[in-house]
Amino acid sequence: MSGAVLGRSAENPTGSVPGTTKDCVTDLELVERAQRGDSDAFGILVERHHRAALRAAVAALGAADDADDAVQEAWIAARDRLAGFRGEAAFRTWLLAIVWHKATDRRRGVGRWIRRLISVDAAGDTPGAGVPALAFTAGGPSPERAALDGERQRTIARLVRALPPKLRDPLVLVGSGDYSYDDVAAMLATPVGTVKWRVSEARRQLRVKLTRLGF
Amino acid sequence: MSETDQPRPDLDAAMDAVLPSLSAVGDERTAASLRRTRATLADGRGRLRSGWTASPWRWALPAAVALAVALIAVSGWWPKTPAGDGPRVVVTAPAATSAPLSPASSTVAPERVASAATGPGPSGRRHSVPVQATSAMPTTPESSRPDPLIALVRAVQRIPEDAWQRSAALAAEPAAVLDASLSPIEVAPLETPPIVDVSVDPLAPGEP
Repeated sequence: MSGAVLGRSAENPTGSVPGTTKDCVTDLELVERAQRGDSDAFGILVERHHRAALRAAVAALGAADDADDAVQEAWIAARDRLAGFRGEAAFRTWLLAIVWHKATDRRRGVGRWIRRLISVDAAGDTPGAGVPALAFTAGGPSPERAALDGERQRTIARLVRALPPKLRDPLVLVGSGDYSYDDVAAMLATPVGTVKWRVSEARRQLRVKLTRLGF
Repeated sequence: MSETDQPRPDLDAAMDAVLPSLSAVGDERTAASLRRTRATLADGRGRLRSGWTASPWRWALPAAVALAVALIAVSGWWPKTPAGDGPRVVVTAPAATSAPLSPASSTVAPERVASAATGPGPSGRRHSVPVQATSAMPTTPESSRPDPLIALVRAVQRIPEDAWQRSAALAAEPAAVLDASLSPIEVAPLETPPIVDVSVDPLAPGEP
């Protein structure tokens, strides 16, 4: 595949492909075109699934910067392996599995461990660290109630991050609302039933801990 | 089902509200990431901007940093001694040791000084360090507190050689004892006068 993957130009800064109705073309058709050397088709796939890929990486890594690097690696790997894609699973599922593999590989990296160790204030870059409290609006909950809800949300975020990865990963992925159980099972290379049990167990543990904390 | 394991719809709702935020990515960041991905893919080489994760340096550099930290930590605990002979403390004689202490006992005092240095230190921790006596110049200044044994050694070293020899010769000779002839002391016999018989009037009955 050539370097001009996305066919961007000064007249088309967003990278949309002229003459292509992106919404009417299925992923499989785009993959087949990309496999035949159509670089624009791969660009459409990137545009379609980049957000889902980025969210999956953020769910795995927490830090958005690390997630961005992992997603780039995943797209490069997907482009390189596209010739081997047989359509046995959806392209999105296939891509998310690559993204998850890259993200977890990065999560296990020594460099990331050292950076987290050195970083004094890593929570500021962690999604969910600044979980917004409920707004104080007229007619809404009282300020005391809103403050309590905000504290509870922050506690939940902290407890979720403290869960073991086997429970946290499926919980965050399913809880994001972007991925089905089948998607998550494919990403984690785990049976769907196991994913469901882990999500249930994670929620149960969170309930127990929150109850003990007085919520 | 335990007390803390009861259904809590309010907590479930709170979790459902929080979980999407844990993987949320803003539109601006998504757009920036998409632009970066496009640029990376359009580059053709497929290399990341930093090139960090795609190279073996991803592991080599952190490993080198960890190794350096470990070496620094270990060196802080390792005793600082020259290689080969193991730990050794050299206790030297004082600066005036150019003259021999005495013909036969030149190393007696340094050995005693050395043996005094093998006890527990001020912190109470015992150092099992071998000690070697030597006549070399001391490498560290003497402490402000004088060592009485070293002062004794210096005093001995200040004795001139001929005086030392004379004293040694005198000490080796047996002590001569002069014969003292004493004349017997004549003691005159003590003569005491005889006791005179004096008649005393007897006390009358009732007198004190």
